[in-house]
Amino acid sequence: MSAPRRPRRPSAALRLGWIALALLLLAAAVLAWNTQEQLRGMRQESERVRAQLMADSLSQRIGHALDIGIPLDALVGVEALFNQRLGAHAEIQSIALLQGPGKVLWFTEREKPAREPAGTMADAPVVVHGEFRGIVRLTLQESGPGPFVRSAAILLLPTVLLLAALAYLAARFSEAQGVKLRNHAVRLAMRAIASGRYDRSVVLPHRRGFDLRAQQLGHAVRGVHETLTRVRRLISSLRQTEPQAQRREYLDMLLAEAQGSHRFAEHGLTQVRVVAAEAQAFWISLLVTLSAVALLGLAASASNAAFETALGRTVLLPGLFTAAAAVAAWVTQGRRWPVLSVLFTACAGLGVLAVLMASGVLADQGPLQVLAGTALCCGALAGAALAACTTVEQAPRRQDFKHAMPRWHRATLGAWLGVAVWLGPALGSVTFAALGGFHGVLALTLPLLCAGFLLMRWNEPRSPWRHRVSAQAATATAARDWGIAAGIATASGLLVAQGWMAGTTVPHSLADAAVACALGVGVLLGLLDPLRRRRHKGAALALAAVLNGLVLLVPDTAAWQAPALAAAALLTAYLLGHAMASTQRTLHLSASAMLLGAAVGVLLAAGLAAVGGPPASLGLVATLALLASWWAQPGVRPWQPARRDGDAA
Amino acid sequence: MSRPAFLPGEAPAQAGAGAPSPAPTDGTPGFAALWELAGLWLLIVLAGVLLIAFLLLNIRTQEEQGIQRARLSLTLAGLQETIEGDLALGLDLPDHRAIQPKLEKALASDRQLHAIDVVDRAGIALFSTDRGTIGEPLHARVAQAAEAGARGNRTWTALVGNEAVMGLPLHNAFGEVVGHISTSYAAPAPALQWADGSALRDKLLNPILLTTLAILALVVLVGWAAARWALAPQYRRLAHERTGRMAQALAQSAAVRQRMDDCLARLDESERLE
Repeated sequence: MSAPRRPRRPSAALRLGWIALALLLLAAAVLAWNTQEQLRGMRQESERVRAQLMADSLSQRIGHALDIGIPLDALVGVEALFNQRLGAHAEIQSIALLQGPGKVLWFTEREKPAREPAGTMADAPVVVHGEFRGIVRLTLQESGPGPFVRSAAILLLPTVLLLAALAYLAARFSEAQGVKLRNHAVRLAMRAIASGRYDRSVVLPHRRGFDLRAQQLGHAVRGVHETLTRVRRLISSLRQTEPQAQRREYLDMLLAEAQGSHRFAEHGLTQVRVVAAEAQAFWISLLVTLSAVALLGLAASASNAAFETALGRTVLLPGLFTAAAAVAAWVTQGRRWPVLSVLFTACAGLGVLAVLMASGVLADQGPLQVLAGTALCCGALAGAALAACTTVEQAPRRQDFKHAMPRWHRATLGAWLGVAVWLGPALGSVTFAALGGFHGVLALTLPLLCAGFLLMRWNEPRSPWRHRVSAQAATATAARDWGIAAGIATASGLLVAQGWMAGTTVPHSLADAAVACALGVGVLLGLLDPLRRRRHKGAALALAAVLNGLVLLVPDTAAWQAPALAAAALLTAYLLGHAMASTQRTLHLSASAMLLGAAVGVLLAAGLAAVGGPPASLGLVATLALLASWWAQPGVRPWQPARRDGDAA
Repeated sequence: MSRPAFLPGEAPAQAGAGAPSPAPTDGTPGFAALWELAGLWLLIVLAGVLLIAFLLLNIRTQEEQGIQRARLSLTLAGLQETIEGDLALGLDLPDHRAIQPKLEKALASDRQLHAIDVVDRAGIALFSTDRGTIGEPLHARVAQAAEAGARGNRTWTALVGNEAVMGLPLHNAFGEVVGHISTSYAAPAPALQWADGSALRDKLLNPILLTTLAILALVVLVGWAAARWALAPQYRRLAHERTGRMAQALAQSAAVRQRMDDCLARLDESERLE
């Protein structure tokens, strides 16, 4: 019988995430209403002028005919003229020619819904030689706020979701390296005291004046250790000069009484440094990759005309980016450069690239060369940063470090995936739509500045950031492990390609934006809050495969195609995030190997796009790859007993 | 100078002496605690509000451009209709001398227009309200847009510096494109172009930006309250811990230390008796 679940403590990050979503939605609604109010008056005035100009033009044409002596009621072709105008200007609702007040000679009207209110109306008198002959009355359709609301919603809803997700991740990172880190260190220290262990002290990397619990407990343990050291030295000194055996036994008894059953250090106290290395590595990897992918996304949005074909967008940019990242990660691991040097170089390199893009120096080159070069440069720098952050994530395996709790499984690779699938392309696209090329590129250097600032703060003695980049211990030598990793990495590449296709079109299509958001939210949910039970995962994979298959069968015109596509993307991405997080302990592969697999996945996506496969087919193939990976894991086949591993702990 | 771990004959130090001061006991997080949890969060939300404001400013600019284009396209459509009617009667475009006065009359009727041109299929100006440009080719960017407009048989636009150019293709009696009629006008300034002093003042007094400033202030206030609300469970936990497990752990370590101090006292006593 399973133990009852403990109720979850309210998470500060989750609270802040919801508040960020509410605040951003409120800001978007208020600003959109304000903009609409400004535009309404401008639009009404414009419509009035347009209606008057069109009515004047018609009255002049009719005036010319009357000028040559044709009576008004004997004119021929008036209806054809009115119909021609209705065809040329879609905004005209009706045109009428009146002879005096109330007497309608010709009237042409466009069909409209019954309840639609009348729009702007303009009257133009028909005057021949100063004599009034009739009136042309032209009515425009009611434009209303519909088009504005639609265009604003397409832009604002994905932007609000994107920013709320970033704000939530920032709060989660801050909570993990602040409140939760200290809570865990205090818990460790109190547990050690309760079990009578005074041979180690728990140390936090940064002292916070408003919460000194860990320091208090550490001071208490040090006090005990120092007093014991005094007792030991005093007794040792007395024992050496004591000639009586009985007296020496008394001194030994005193020491034994003082020590009791507790455990003490023989020499110095062991310092255990509790570090939030996973959360910090997640955040730095996210910031650097976010800048890299968003810069590439912005460059792609700026020269969208050069890559109209789906193949170009699917293959070239994410493919080059991922391949360059894999090569750079492999080189970085091989050269064993210092972590901080790699990360500062990545930040500086991306900053220089941003300045070059903003200055227009690259504008003289062809758009294809610029985009390919940007993809290679951004990919290489992001890949090197990923390898460096992975090293930091694994640093607490050393004896004198301890991980903060709760753990962030596959922190750096997860951050890379979340950014490549959703956050990066969408942020680049939205930044270009809001700020344009010059200011947008400069704005995208802000994450780099934040990363540089944090790295400078963490650059201190005995910090996990002061290591050299190393490849992870390659324990995945079995063919089965390689199969599991290949399935996950290929699915990553496929979803990166799908996310890129959907994310770079954020300002244009709500359906694509919904798919991009679903992919990103799914990956982050899978990474940060995965399913606990394996049999649930099998059912979810089967459901995802069925859903992706159904989406492929549904015709494009079906009304529920877009929601079904978003639901399938959400489930598939969730399962990918979960697969990546849940294999943390069983599968140890280097960042470069995973990136190489992702590059193969993008190549597969290219092949699918080349044979005319729709974007939804990428989701289906990714689900199949995940299914194969899950099937290869031990303990999932029906004829094998389920194995308990340490994941649930 | 650091204090040695052991000094012979020194009185035992009191438990907790020189220890870090305990956490605040009033149960309310200070600025540093709030900033640690919600600093990055607040910066991202504030940047997000600014991004949303600029997105809406761009939408507004595009709407303004659309309104301006819709109005100017009427003038162009009227001229296009007149010229195409004449071409349908068999007149050649280069030989149609009546076009020039029509262009000048249209230009005089609209102050927003800088110039109106009629160009042939190759982009060479045949008639223009700016006489100096007659015989000159179109700007490369404008020629590219005109070619795309001719292919799609639709209104085309191009941006050259601070001037926008809009045009319509001209068709002969057989429906073939024989040229274009185009007009140039001042393009609306983009949302982030603040080089001009008066433009900067106008932008800053824009109701959207004023509303944005108010929202930013509101976000700071709400963010402050939200951070306090988010930290409330942690501070309840601290209050509970301070009188519970924390106090127990400190008491346990103090008891162990006291035991050792007693041992030292007994040693001193026995040495004194000897």
